Amino acid sequence: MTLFRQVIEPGNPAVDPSRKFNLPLSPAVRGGDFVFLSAMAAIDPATGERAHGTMAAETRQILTNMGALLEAVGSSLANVVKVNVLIYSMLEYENMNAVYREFFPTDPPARTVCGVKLIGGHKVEIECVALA
Amino acid sequence: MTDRLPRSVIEPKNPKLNVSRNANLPHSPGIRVGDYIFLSGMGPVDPVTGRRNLGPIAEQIRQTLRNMAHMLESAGSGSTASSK
Repeated sequence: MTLFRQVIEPGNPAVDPSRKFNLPLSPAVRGGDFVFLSAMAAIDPATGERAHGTMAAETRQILTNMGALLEAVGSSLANVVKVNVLIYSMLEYENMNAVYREFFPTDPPARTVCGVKLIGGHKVEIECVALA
Repeated sequence: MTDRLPRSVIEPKNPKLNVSRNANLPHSPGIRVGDYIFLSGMGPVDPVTGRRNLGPIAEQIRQTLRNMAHMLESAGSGSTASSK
């Protein structure tokens, strides 16, 4: 049996960077039992503009938007299995963790955190794989 | 979706290699779901002392992959079954 592949549009188009910034990516793609999300940066869901702030504020905005995107496809943060977190400086690792753990209080997903250079002045981007 | 695959947490058999628990970090060592296993990022932790095994990169890679094999074996898989 061949698994199906389906592009997912966010319920709120304001948080779709592929449209806003004309990027060659889909916000999310469903493949079989899983949904794969592109890395998300902090975007204000009301305006679609970049929501620059502290590591804590950007992490909170991203995970809020990620939860909404997952729920729009019938999934949720509780169904996430793997997360990659990209942060601009590993010195801010604990500032990211402090907010992150609020969103995954029990049986959190497997996760990898990397210190990288990010585009657009953001401090953090987060991507995930979830059960659809 | 109502008929999701079951999602369960995987812990390494050797507690010294359980970095997320020992350092109280907000991730699980691994997640199993259906036929798949998702592992967290791993580093060169010494399985005897639980401390970072800092050394030449070749040694760190060897140690990390040994620890990865341990994680997969703890979940009933093996390093020959890795696809990514």
